[in-house]
Amino acid sequence: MSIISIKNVTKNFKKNPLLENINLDIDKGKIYGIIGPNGSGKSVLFKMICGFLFPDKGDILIHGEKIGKKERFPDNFGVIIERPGYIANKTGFQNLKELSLIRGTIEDRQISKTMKLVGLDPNSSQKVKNFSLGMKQKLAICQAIMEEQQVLILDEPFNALDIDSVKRIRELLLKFKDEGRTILLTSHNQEDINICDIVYRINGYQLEQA
Amino acid sequence: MPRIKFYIARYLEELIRFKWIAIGVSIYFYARMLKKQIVEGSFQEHMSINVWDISLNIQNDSYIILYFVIPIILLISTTSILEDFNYQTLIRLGTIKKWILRSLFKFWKKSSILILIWVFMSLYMTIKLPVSWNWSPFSKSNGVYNDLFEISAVFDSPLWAFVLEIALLILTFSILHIALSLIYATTKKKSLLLVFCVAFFIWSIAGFKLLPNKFSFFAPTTYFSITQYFHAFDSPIMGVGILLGAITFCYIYLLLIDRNIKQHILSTRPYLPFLLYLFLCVIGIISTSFSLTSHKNTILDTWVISFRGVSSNFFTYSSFFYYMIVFFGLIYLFSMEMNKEIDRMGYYKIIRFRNLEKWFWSWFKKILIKTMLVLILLTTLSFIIGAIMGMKCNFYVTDFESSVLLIFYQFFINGFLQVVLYILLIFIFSWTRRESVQVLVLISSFMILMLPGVNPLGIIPVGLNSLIYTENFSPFHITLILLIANLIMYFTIKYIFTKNLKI
Repeated sequence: MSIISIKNVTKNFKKNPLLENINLDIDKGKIYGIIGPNGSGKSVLFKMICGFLFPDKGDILIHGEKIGKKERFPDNFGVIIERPGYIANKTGFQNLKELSLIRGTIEDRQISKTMKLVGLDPNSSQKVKNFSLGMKQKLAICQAIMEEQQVLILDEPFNALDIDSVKRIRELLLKFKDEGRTILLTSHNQEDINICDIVYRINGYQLEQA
Repeated sequence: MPRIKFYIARYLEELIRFKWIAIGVSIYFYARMLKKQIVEGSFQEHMSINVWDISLNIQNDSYIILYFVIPIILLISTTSILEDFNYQTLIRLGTIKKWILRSLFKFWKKSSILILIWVFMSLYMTIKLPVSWNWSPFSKSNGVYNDLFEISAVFDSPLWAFVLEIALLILTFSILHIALSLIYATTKKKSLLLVFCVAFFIWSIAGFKLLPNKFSFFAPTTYFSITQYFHAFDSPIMGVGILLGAITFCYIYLLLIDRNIKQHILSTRPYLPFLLYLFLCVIGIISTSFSLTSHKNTILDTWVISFRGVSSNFFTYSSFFYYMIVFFGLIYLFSMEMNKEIDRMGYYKIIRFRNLEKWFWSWFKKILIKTMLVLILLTTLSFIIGAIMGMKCNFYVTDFESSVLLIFYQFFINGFLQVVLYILLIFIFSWTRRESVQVLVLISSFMILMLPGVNPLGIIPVGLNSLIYTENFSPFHITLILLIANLIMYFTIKYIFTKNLKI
């Protein structure tokens, strides 16, 4: 059974078509890439998968269950969609701590470990409002992976990262894939897409395998 | 345990922040001024006061509520909503409902500090005042500086008023925050949230300053103060009802917020015209009930008067318009269905039936069943609404001379035949004319034929199902007319089916 099944999904934006009759099955333990021009609906697709938006037609199933039936948002998903919201007056660690307390499944040391993994200093007293774009992006990656989420929905995860950080994150994602995690990502950069097992393109409101 | 320690530490950290000290100081100065007024008032009236006069008056002071509490609560609520509504939090919580409940918890972390400061100041001002568990003579007096007069009559001890004031604040604050959370979670528009907050604040001021006493339950400040609550409601049960209503609404909305409401609404769209029709029918029946006397009239009267209709000898505008809504509204709904059959799939279906009469009957029989069901539904609704409005649940009619059986016969049998006749007429018109606008012209002509003096002998088969006809005509005479008319329509349809179809 696919982890994510998208069946005949259509989404309009202010009565204009955005996505039409999208069908997609995502299997466990693979990296999927979604590419397409700006405004083609990649983020909208990701938001629908995560339950933040409902499709106008069609169904999205996560582990065989229709999204929005039992729980509105899927369980054990790590998400980067658009610019994340942070508490500006707190440090990166404090922000992640705030998030970790929701499910209470990890300790402080796991947060620290994840921060170091992506290249952030957990002991830094620098407030997030003073973070660079790249640091904020790393923080976003941190929150998406720190609780060992098994499905990662990453909208342009490499944005604003320097070359070394990009290389580090790519290796991390490949490692996650070997561990059996499922990853969906979008990117404009062909090199980022090269790590994907399967790539789809959004073309003329349709999803086609690239 | 470490988690609890963490939360406690965070709470204490919040407690000692400068903004709370500033708020505390502001309340202190105002409370001091209020205390001075009350003390001077008690001297003037030569009555003694105790700790409750000061503390309860400070806790129920409208100006503290209006200009401190409400703005601060709105600020705490909106900032906590806007800070916390993000994808990272939602994906971890799993539902928006859980997010709202979590948001409520976070809201209370800060608003509890406000209540603490407020109560602390109210108690601090009571230093050096006599302590008692009872009301003072000043509390029980109806003086200018005393707002406790009404509650001193309700509660044996001022301690109950104190406890209930806190309970009321907790309830009102919670409802307000949940409402704001629901607004933001639904619309995701910061501007709308802020507009609502500003509107709420202005409404609070306007409600307090402008509303007369009997409408003071509309003012938000009523629900922040136990003295105003008892002042606004003759019976406190009504206030409880309003608050429970608000909680129920919030609870139902919470249950629905995670669902795909848009798809549900879209799926109910085809039923909207019927629901609107039903709504109008119900309004008409309720309006009729208001005109009846509950101890004199029965539920059957509600039904009879609602569907009385008009005749040549009896005409009222209300009965006429209500007849139009019920019966012409019904046939208009059926005509829409009929047009779908004729226009959209008509030829594809006709070619498969290979016989126009078979095709006609395939959808017409459904309309016949629906007609009977609607008549039964309208009758049932009349009885239910009549009962709710306090009519006697007896099975006799006080305002009509005809027997109940004959009235039932008139409503169901003649009602059925009349509606069928209307539908057949509309079908013939639609089939031959092929323009749905002209159906409205036809219905308009029905209305004209129902005007007073047009049908004195009751032979024109329009409006003959009005219950008022039983007063002057035999329902069987009406049945005969309607049957003949329906037969004519039947043969007309058979005839037009022999002609060319208008493709």
